[in-house]
Amino acid sequence: MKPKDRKKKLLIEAGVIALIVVVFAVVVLVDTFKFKNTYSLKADEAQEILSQTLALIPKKQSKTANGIVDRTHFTVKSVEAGETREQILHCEYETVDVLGLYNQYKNEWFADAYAYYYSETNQSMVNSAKVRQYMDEQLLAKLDEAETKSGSIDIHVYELQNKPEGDAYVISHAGTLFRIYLSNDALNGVFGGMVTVSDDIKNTKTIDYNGQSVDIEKKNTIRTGLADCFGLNNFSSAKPDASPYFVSLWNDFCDDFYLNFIKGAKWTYLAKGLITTLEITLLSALLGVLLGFICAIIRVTHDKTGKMMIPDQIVRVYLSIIRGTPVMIQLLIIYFVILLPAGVAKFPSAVICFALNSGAYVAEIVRGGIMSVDNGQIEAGRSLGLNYIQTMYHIVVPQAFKAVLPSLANEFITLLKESSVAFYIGVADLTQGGLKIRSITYSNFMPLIAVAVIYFIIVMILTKLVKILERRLRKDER
Amino acid sequence: MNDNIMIQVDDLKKHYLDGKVKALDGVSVSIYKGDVVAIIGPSGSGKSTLLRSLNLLEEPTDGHIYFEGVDITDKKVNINVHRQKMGMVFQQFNLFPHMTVLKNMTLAPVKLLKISETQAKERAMKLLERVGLADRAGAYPAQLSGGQKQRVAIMRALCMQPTVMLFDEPTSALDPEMVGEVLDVMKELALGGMTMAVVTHEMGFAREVANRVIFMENGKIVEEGSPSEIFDHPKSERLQSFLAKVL
Repeated sequence: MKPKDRKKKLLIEAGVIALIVVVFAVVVLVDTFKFKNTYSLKADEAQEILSQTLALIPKKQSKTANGIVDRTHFTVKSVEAGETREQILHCEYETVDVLGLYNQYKNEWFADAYAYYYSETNQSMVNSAKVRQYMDEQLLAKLDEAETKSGSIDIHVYELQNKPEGDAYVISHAGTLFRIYLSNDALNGVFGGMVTVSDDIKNTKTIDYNGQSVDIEKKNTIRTGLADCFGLNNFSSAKPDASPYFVSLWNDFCDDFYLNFIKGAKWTYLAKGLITTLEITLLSALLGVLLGFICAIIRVTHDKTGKMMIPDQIVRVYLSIIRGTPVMIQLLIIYFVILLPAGVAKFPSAVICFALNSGAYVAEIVRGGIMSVDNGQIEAGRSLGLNYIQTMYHIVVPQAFKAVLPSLANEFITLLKESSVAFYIGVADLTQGGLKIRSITYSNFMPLIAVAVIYFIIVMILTKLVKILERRLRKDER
Repeated sequence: MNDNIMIQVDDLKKHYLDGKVKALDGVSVSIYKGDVVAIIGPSGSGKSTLLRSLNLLEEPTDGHIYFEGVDITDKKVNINVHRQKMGMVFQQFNLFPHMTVLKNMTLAPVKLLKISETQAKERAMKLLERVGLADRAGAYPAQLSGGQKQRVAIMRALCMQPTVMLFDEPTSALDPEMVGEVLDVMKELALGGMTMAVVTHEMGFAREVANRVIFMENGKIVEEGSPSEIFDHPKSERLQSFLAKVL
């Protein structure tokens, strides 16, 4: 290629990339602009939205929760529009200190509940649902004793485009949908610390019953805290993503990436798998090339001299079997039928299979290469007194090797990709690594695309190397 | 057998397609030490086949070839040993393209004559100097002109120190202006006393350098004699008409 053409090609490539970047930037900008918050809440509107929300919260779950909500009062102090579609409400609240009340009586209530069920059933197994129900009733009865406490919180309110299905905390107000988000801290403050009491009771192991202390075995402890009783665990604490579409897409991508590769160091499955894949490919390619050359030379020798009848027949049978069956079946047969009973491990089995497989294809490539070397070369070698093997070794094979090197490299690339079937016999290669991540995270996109991208990058690098190699070979001898 | 006979060919036959094509049809010829034999004839007359049979690049169907008294058509004979003493030069040069000129020349001597790499290089450089190609020792064949290639090919054969040189139309693939340089080398070789068999279309060379000329047609030797007998007093009608065309 002329330098001028190269320059032109580079310019076009840069242009295409620039175009993609510009289009993406425009889309993101338009997107951001489109979803920019245009609705300003007034304080009284915010107040109404909050009271509606509170009305939605615990209804079905418990009477106590209703009691708490009845005693909770919000005052919206200020409203601030967020960057995107988010409104932040700064609220003063007044509520009852349920946590204090609960801590004061919990052992007593629990002992009562336990004693009641123990006397009924004579078992130390307690029905946790019934204990919770009992404690809920006790709490409701004492609710008037609870102290009043106050504080201030920020509550995030989101405008929504569409109402998500089954979401309890979506409010319609003045023709706009809002979603309320309370952080765990906010929940905790407003509802008297009921979120933090979850798991509290399991610490109570010894209680007094009829004057004697009774150990409650761990399995009998009540694992769920009070937050359950009041249905607060149903309250979504997952902050909705109100970002523009492409930004949230990017965020999702990052989350997905984190989940699939970073969390629990799952990327090591891919890294180790890649190393295994490269090892299998390299080893089997080396063996395959060796085998291929031997087979090719046997075939050519038979074609040219008529000697080596039996080896030639063996090679022919080998070639037609390998080329006539799928590599996956070959792998399964070689491992499960032949090598596993012989006590050979998975990795060497895979290497042997792929070596046998690529050897057959290499043989045909090399045979073509040897045939393409001018007969005059053999005659020249023989006329100098070199014997057939010397002529092959010093004169024909080096030339054939040069001629077929690009094809061999392509065969190597094919082998790299074909080695992905190694996972059928449980070799932890790159494909297997991706599938393992997939089976842990249940996501399809990330692990599969990642595996594909890694194969692709390696193949691209190899292709580039082959091109450089070809260019250098052409330069040689000129 | 006469000690002076280098190669004795006895009723040599080469048939293709179960005898339907007879490339050589009973050829007998003797090449003596110091002989320069030119083999001429129309294309398809079997002259190249005859030459290539001399070192068994073509396996004859029938007949015998004695080289330095040994029947090399005998299956038990290791032909490789005898080929070392028979240099061959091809129409298409057949240099090894993946080796430098020097390597082309030293490969066989190092492998077969068991001389050291250095000795072989010395020998090769001496030969290259003789033909004025010493400065091209490190070049690859593709970097040489046709005439240079053929001279290197001749030197490659000579590097084995053969007792006889076989030339198979050595100038046919050359541009006309390069024919001279190759013929000069061959002439020098002949003057040095080398036994040579040359298949050629260069009648001038045959007349000037050869001491014997063989005219072949249809796989048979039609006429044989000194250059003056062949070129000045051709007996057969076929030779007369051939010479009328080529001279």
